[in-house]
Amino acid sequence: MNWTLGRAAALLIGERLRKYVALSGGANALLHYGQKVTKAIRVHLSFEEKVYRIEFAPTDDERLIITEESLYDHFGGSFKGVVGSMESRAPQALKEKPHYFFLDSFVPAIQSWKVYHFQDMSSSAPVKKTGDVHDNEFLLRPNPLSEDTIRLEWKEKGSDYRFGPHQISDGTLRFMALATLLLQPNLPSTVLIDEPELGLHPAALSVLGGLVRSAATRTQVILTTQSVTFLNEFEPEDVITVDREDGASVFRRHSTDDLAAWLEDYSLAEIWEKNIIGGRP
Amino acid sequence: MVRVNIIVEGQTEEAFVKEVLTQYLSERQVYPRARRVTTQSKGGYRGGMTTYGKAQKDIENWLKQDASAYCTTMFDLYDLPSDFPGYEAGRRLQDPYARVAHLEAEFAKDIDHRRFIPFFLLHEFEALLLSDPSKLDEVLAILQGASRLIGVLIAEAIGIDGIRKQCPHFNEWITKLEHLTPSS
Repeated sequence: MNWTLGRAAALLIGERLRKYVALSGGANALLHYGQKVTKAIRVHLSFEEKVYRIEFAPTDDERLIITEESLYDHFGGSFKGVVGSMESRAPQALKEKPHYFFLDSFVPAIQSWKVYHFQDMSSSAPVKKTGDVHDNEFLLRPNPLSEDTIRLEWKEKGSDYRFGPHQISDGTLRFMALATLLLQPNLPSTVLIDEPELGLHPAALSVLGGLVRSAATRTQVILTTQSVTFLNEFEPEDVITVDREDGASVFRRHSTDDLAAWLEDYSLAEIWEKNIIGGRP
Repeated sequence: MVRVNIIVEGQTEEAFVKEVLTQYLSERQVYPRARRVTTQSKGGYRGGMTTYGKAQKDIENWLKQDASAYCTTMFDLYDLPSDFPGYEAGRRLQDPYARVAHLEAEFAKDIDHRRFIPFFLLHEFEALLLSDPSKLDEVLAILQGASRLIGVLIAEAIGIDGIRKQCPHFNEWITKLEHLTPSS
């Protein structure tokens, strides 16, 4: 899962949808089996009684345009986008009317979504290089020789020797990034993490489970996993399995009550492996 | 040099033994190793033992397989499986110290081995952290869902001596471990 919808939503509200479509290979690459099969992408987001709808269709020159955009609740429609536009009208509408019904929470919430990529641990990965010390929200101690830049360094307990980011295993470095993310005092409105188990020792996965549960008391955390060990950190209510049925992805929730008899003898991961809850290849 | 296998319930206790207790006891030439009785096969992250049988089997295996080491336990009294020796009679005892003494005596009788030292925590690991009242907010956060491994950091900050001063039963256990002589 590569967070297409999440990233697209954030980019949409961040006015960079056009660039995203182009970088993805054009409209045809985003439509299910291409535009011959899929004529439009329709998104319907409901927030209790408030509904946001948006519809995209492809143009002849590989772009996606918005053919419908609206936000309404049961008191009546309140916001409509511009047909034929390539960007959402929501941010602009909010600028014109800063207290515009629901937009004033909807737009900032989606704008704060952050997709973190910790897969890249190659030597050219940004986490291993020097960064601009101002390009973040943390209080950091910059490089004493070059005050505008900063690089990750670490020490082992009991020693003053400073190691650089190239002198640690990929998995440990990835764990440092995940822990830093989840322990931030101010978390975004949603945190999306893709397959955090990569490179992690099972004991680290257990620690990560604890960090996710802690962060989940302050914000919404959505993860994907294919790890048996990591799945066991969660309850049936935390899990959504995805199955492909008749060409569509079907998402299902689960409950401790429904699985009660199985849970007496099996862990959640065993229940998954036994194909009781789906999510099998 | 004295070695002790400490049978623990979960990863938090394992980390406590490794990060905090080992340094303290090795200064007294006693070398502990944590051995988990449950892995993640059931009960997920909330784990814990579900039956006495599992603990009993592990203890007997350790005593047999590692014949030059002592074997002790660090189990929560809270939510102790009801098939532990002396459980029913123990429940009727109001005073927690009397209860724990009874359960440990019955446990020792059931295992019946000179290298075995039973120990139950009153009432669970997090209780040890209350030996420092300034840590109360953090302990409450853990009980409300924050990562239990923070507890290990708190224990490290308080120190074993600090915990011993406030927790008499824990102090008795550490005293026993400190005074172990090579088991040959």
